[in-house]
Amino acid sequence: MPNYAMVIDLHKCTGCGACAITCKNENNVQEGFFWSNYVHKTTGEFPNVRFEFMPTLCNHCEDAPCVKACPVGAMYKDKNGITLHDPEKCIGCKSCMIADPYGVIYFNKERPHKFWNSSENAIHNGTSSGKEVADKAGAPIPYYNPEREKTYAGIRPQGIVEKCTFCDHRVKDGEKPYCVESCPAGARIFGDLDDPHSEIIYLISKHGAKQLKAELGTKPKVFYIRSY
Amino acid sequence: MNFYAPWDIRVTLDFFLGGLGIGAFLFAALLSFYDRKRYREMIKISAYIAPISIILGLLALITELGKPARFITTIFRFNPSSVMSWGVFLQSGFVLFALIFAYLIMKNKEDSGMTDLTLILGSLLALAVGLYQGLLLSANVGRSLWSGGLVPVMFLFSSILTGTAVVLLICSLKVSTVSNVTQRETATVDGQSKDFSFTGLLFGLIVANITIVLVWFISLNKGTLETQKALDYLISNHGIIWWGGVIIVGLLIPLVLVLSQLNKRKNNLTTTPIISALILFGGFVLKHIVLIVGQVRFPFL
Ligand code: SF4
Repeated sequence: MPNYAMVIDLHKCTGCGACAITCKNENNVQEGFFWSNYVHKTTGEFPNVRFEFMPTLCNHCEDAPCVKACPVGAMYKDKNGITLHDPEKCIGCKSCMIADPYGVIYFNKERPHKFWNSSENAIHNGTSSGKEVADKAGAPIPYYNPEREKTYAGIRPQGIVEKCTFCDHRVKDGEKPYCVESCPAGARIFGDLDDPHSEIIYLISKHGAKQLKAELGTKPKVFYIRSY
Repeated sequence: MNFYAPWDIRVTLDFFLGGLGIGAFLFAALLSFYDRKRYREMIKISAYIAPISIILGLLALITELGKPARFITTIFRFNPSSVMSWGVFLQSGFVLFALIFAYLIMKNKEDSGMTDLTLILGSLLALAVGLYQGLLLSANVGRSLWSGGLVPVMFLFSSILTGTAVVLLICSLKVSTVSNVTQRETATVDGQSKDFSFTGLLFGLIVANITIVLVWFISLNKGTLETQKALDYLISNHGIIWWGGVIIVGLLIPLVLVLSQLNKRKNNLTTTPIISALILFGGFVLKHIVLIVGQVRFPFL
């Protein structure tokens, strides 16, 4: 069984944010939620300025604290090392969010995709509503991706949490996660951590890697190499 | 800093009301083993408060769930590494013993061996539930304000103090028992045990609470950069309610009032309800502030 992990090459990353957008598309992620996200910081004063940009996502930790915290086993580790979530089991207690050191789990406090369910005018004084557009598209949301339903709720209902799944629905068919596929700079590399010949192992050993909050002992599996 | 706290005031209510429940139960156990005939009325009140309070707390917690109806699944989907999973069993166990105890008291069976057994097992569960509340927070990695292992002890002591206070408050409001509550240091009546010193108990509990809160505060302040940052956030955003509400109103003023009562060694019908009310307020704010501020997340970069 593979042990999936990701390398993000900060030297190659241009900070375009494509990963964050395409992820929403692939996984039907609603407004305000970011399975794939990024943080950035500017320090110094002109002309000595430094800008840092770091894409973030679920770290699929080997020792995942969210999995440990879940009282019903809804958050679990798959055999292939991916941290997954079972929407049928989830009781919405948010223990996983409290345990998660990275802030990558989101709670559906309300009915998701409100905009596409609303009959209010989408634009002031306009004539069309989000609901009308969604209805005409014949899908819950116009950009709905039915592929997502293969392994997870197509859209996660109110009352449960959701998070990045490393696109397990694609990975199981031998494809790469969509953020990896869509990164124009080729800065995201996906692979098997247990395969000594994988590209990620090569990159990690060549450049040395940094993991977010490695000191917490969660063994995160998103490795950052080089710097911006 | 704006942040989203996944756990809101309903979790505080669970901690607070659950705390009152276990505190009241432990207080009932203490009085029962001291002199159950003499303090019958107080034991009775404690016995009723314990299950009602913890059940109300649990209800508050259940409304906090995204899928409240699935609460029941926590019983058969036990995850041994989840503190919350353990908590479900500990709290259910405690509710059971608290209900049995209340029933025995209601049926005037306080002298049966069954009562003693219920008290002993219930007290053990009460202590476990008291510690569990803080563990639910401190067992999370990377939550600096909750780190260091003192939060469970702090919450347990707060629960014991507030549970005692709520019983004293209700008793002192019931005129018939006021003299019981407030007469403490009077002479021993023939053939009876020495009066239980409620003021002394309150004094001890308040001092214990102050000590542990201070130790917690100082150790975070002397800790890593992360814990200092968390504490700075607490003080700069909630400093007034922390120092004013938790420390001064909730602990120091009650301490002074208790000391003056101890000093006078006489009935003081007015201060017991005030002391109790202040303690309850402080205890609630303490748990709420620690719960909410502990959820602040600091940026990676
Ligand atoms: S919110 Fe759902 S997945 Fe998260 S800990 Fe609770 S039950 Fe588990």
